[in-house]
Amino acid sequence: MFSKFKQILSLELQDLNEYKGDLFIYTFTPFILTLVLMVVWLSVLDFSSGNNAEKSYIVSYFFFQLIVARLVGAWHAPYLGEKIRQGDVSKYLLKPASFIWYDIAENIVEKIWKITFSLPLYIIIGYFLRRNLFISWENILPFLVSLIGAMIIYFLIEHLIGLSAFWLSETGAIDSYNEVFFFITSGKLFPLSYVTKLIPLGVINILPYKYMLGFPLDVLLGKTTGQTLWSDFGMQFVWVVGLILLYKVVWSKGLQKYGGYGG
Amino acid sequence: MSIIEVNHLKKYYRVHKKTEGFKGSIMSVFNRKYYDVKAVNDVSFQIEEGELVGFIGPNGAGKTTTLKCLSGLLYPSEGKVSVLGYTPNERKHEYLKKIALVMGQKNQLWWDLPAIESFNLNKILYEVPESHYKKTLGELVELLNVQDTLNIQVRKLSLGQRMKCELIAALIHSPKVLFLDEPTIGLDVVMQQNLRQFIKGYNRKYKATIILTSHYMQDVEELCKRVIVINNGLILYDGPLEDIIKKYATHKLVSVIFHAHVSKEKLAELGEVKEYNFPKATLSIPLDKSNMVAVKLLQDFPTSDLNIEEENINDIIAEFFKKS
Ligand SMILES: Nc1ncnc2c1ncn2[C@@H]1O[C@H](COP(=O)(O)OP(=O)(O)OP(=O)(O)O)[C@@H](O)[C@H]1O
Ligand SMILES: [Mg+2]
Repeated sequence: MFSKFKQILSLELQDLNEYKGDLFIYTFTPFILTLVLMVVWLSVLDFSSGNNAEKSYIVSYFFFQLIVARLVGAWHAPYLGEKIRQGDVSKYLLKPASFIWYDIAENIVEKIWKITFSLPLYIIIGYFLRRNLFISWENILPFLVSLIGAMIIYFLIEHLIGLSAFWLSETGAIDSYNEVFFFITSGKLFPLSYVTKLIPLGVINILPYKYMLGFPLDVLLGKTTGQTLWSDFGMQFVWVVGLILLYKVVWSKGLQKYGGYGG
Repeated sequence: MSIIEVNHLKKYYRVHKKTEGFKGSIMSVFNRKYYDVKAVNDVSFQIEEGELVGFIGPNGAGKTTTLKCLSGLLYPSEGKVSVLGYTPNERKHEYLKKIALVMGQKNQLWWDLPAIESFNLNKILYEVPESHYKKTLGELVELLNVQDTLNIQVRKLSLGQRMKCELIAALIHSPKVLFLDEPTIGLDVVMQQNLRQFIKGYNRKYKATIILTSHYMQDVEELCKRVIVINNGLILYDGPLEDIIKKYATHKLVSVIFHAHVSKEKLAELGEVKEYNFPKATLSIPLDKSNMVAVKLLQDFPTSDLNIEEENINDIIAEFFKKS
């Protein structure tokens, strides 16, 4: 099994090299938004009075968000949708390997590529912010676990949106709803501890988006500890299992609908 | 039990009615109307091990749809399909390792990579032992004469070069059952012949069971003893190709070369003039009269050469489609 996956990985890596140009652009755009958000929050919260702990939290939060968002990201829904519509899924279906592994391989390869090419920028930005950067070292292990959970949830939601192309002629609409919810409830725009006045915490805790970004970040920064850590892990686990089950059902129902277009 | 068994297979595609214009598309948002395209509508046949069967029919007849059901890409709407004892749409890996579907109209190779990468992937996915892989690949590459194209990106290959690579990719794992959907499409005459030769050889050598569709009747004539004719999702005929030819070849082609000019009107009295470019003429003559016309041409006309040929197989099949 592993040798099969390794071969798929190597193929996806070579394929990726064909799109270096596009990837280069995609690699650097997210920096802008996140750094702007950092500056906006720093000025809104006004730390001139000298609440340094809070200031460091904001700086660290957005700095590490740059890295974590990259590690958990997935963006293949439109491509997957197109493969289904054009009947290009057929070539994968004919082979004795599950279709999802190709997208997993592609996702991993692209992440490694993007992280590698962003590394100099991380180092430069990190150097400038070094006085305000911290992480909670005792939370490193829980952070890594939550990061893997976040990757799985993110990937599966993106994958499910792509699979909706079995029924819908457009995945774009669902995708944009997903994006809006992600922006508001994941901790992308603001640390989640700041928004409980806007959106009830209950809603944020139930939706999957928190477990895709804000949760691992707050574990890394030591904001989430003790009882909350366990209950958040529980909820993340529920989402992982739930989405895997949902994926299985959707995939098998989708195949029954598949028209195998073309040829 | 036969290698391939298809019992009352039906495949309906559900499509929604597209209404024209702006108003129509607004209406259809609220009131979508569906109807079924009956692509395959009750098809049954059996195929034994080692048979090479031609699957023919006009555009939209349901050939590709049937092959997709056989290879597990599509779920049948009704009926039962069994290949090598497996139910194709379960897509058991064990099953997929024993079959291959080649589609002349659909690329299955990695578009941006050289074909050899797709072959290597297949080697691992189909768990082909290294030694076996080397041997098979070597043979195929030599037979199809593609040594120079293996390391070029697939998107840069010509249609024929790509087709050959598609075929290699499909055969790396030595499938026992092979579905070939228009494998000779777009190939030049020499390549078509090579490919036919190759398919014939593969069938013999591996006792492989093959279903072949093609719009080139020469393919079918040369390769397939048995043909299944399908139209509008229904089987019209299943049996030896010769029987169709016997039944529907109603004319013979008589071609003559004259050494002096003959008026077209005079020729037309003998039968339908298919072609007349002095000194060469071709006449289509009903079977029972062909001998008589030949004699007449030799005796009463300035004929220097005469030839009686079978009617073109394309015409025979066209006649058959028309009549049924
Ligand atoms: N995915 C699909 N959705 C809806 N209708 C389809 C689909 N695929 C095929 N059809 C319809 O089903 C019918 C049979 O198509 P099919 O591709 O099986 O024909 P074919 O015999 O292979 O024709 P050709 O010789 O042109 O390749 C056609 O009327 C076609 O329009
Ligand atoms: Mg077809």
